[in-house]
Amino acid sequence: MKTNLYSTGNKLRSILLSLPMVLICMLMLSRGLTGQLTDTISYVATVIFYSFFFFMMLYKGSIDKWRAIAFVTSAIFFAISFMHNLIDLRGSVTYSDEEVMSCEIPFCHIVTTMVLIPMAIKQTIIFPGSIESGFASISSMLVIVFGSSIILGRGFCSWGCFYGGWDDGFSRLTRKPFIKRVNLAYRWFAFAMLIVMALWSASTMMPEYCSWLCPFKLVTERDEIVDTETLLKNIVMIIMFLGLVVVLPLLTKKRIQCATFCPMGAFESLFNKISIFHVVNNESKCIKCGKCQNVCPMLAISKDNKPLINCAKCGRCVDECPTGAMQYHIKGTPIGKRFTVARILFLYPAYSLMVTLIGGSMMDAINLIFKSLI
Amino acid sequence: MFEGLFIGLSVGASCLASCGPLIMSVIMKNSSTTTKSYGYLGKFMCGRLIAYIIIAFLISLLCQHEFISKEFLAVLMMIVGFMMIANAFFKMPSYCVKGNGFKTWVRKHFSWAYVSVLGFVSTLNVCPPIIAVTTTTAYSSSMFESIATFAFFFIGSSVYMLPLPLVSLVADKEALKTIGKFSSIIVGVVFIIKAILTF
Amino acid sequence: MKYVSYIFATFMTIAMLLIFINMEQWIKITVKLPFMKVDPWLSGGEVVDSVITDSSRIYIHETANPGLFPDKTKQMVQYDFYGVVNDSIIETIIDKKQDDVIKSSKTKDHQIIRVYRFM
Repeated sequence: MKTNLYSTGNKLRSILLSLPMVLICMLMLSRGLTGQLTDTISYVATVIFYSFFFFMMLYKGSIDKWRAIAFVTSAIFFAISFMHNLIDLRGSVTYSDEEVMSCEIPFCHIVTTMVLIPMAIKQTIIFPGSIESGFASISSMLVIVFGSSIILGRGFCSWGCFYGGWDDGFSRLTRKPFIKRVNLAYRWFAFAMLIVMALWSASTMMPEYCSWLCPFKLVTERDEIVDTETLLKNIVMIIMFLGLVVVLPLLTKKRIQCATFCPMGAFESLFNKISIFHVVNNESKCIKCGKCQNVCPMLAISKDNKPLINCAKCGRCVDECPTGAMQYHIKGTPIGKRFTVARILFLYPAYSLMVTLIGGSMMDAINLIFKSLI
Repeated sequence: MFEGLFIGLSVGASCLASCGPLIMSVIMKNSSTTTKSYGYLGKFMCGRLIAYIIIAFLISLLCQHEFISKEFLAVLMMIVGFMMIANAFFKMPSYCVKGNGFKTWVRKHFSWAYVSVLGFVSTLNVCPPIIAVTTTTAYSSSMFESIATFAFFFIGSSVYMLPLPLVSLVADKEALKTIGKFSSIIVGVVFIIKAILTF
Repeated sequence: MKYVSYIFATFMTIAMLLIFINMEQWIKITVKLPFMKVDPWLSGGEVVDSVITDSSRIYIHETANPGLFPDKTKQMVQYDFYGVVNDSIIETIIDKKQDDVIKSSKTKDHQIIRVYRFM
């Protein structure tokens, strides 16, 4: 039986280390509590859910497995909560010209890549959302995106992105990949998308990726079909979702949408240069087995087994490395020493992001389910 | 006349946004050094300048600023689309080819012609800032004034393009080439779809 | 140096929590930035005129142009109607024959009408 190098195997120690996270869950999820019974039940359930998975990460020593369960579940519950809120608010998950004209479209982090150039040149934001008030206002999302990216780098994609859970989930459904090798060069496609989409959106002054290519509109909100163009947009969206989020991740066991297509992912990669946390290969321990490269869902490990700029810090390579050569690391500290400390210091902010950013939606969705059952 | 320069300077950022994806893709895909990249930018600019002069000439000749039909623009868009996809899959022949004859001559001048034509065609159909200057020039008193206004517009708007070749300073040339290849494909597909939707 | 790194990494958890706990303050700071406004072509832009009667209020927005630089050949003006609004009031404000495209959006308390002109 494989023993995990990071497993504390000590319940008391794991509980003690989990306590701060339990408190964080309790504090961050308590905002907006009304005191209703269903509300309290969903609050307790969500706190227990997130605290349990954090405890398991420490106790069992494997990050990715437990992270993935929490992450994928959060993404599904986020979609339920988001779509239900939209139906409550406007009676449908589609948006029409009316919502666009009233600037009521929730701002999503992927749009950030498209608004930057007009923001710098014309000093305006090319998105029909609310700047200050309402759900997912532009200012709040920009603060979250830039703040969390500076702290975690591309870790946002594995710990905070409420879309990422979809292709992460589908990439885990098959036991073995049908397509065994995915060329590492495909990771650059996301960077090409970033350049083209940022410039194209600046030239048309419309967030073109959102208008035409975003697959996740299927699990959030989409255009109301009123003419050929909106019909075409909906068809493209379904094809994108099925192709990039369902079929290709199933065939390759890679997060194809996130790794090769998402312009936000490429943008976040640049923050890996700033973030204090990163994953390193401790070469003195590495036996060059290439397992890390095979299991990496983001195409982020080079042929010589080194983490690349697009690493999303999901922890899969850290878990799977037979010698423990792949480690979380804090820049400025010696490699190979106190790697458990580095790992725990990374886990706190990363997991806090997941709990705070998606946890509220999860609580909301559980609340809805309870209400429908009672 | 100098109005062209000021219009160019004020709307040049828009030139960067509309022509940027095209020239950036070409530069990233084909050039390894900054000097070479500026060479590609120069070729692209040449195409732009020729297009501007022709537009200025036609405007003063026809005394109107809308003389290209929607369908013709769609065809041009389609051409740009296919040229970008070709850029992704084929290597530009080197300028330093030895030998004589027509084939060698074609190989020597291919990249020059290809990128200039791309600049020319894209200026005719994707350039939104051109509207700003065409409406001004349509009422110019002479052909010389019209052409001069466009030439100054060209100078003003080109300033914004100058930093683009600096992308070649990125150390990972292989990555740059791959990104250039992929962005050429994306831009090509976008243009072809836009052309189809225009028809 | 390594201790500074560990301390800094520890502070990252607090920083992450502060992003969310202090969100209202961050928003107040962010909205003051010069670029924090929705493009007038999408939002309608600033109100520049108003017509107020006993039963209705009409706010007229600035003329907006699309594009990274203002493309003067395309214009849009937004009108916000509050209170009792009927077709005759709208027609006194908007000349439907002259305008190319008119888009309308009705909410609980007011109606937005956008008039587009392509020259």
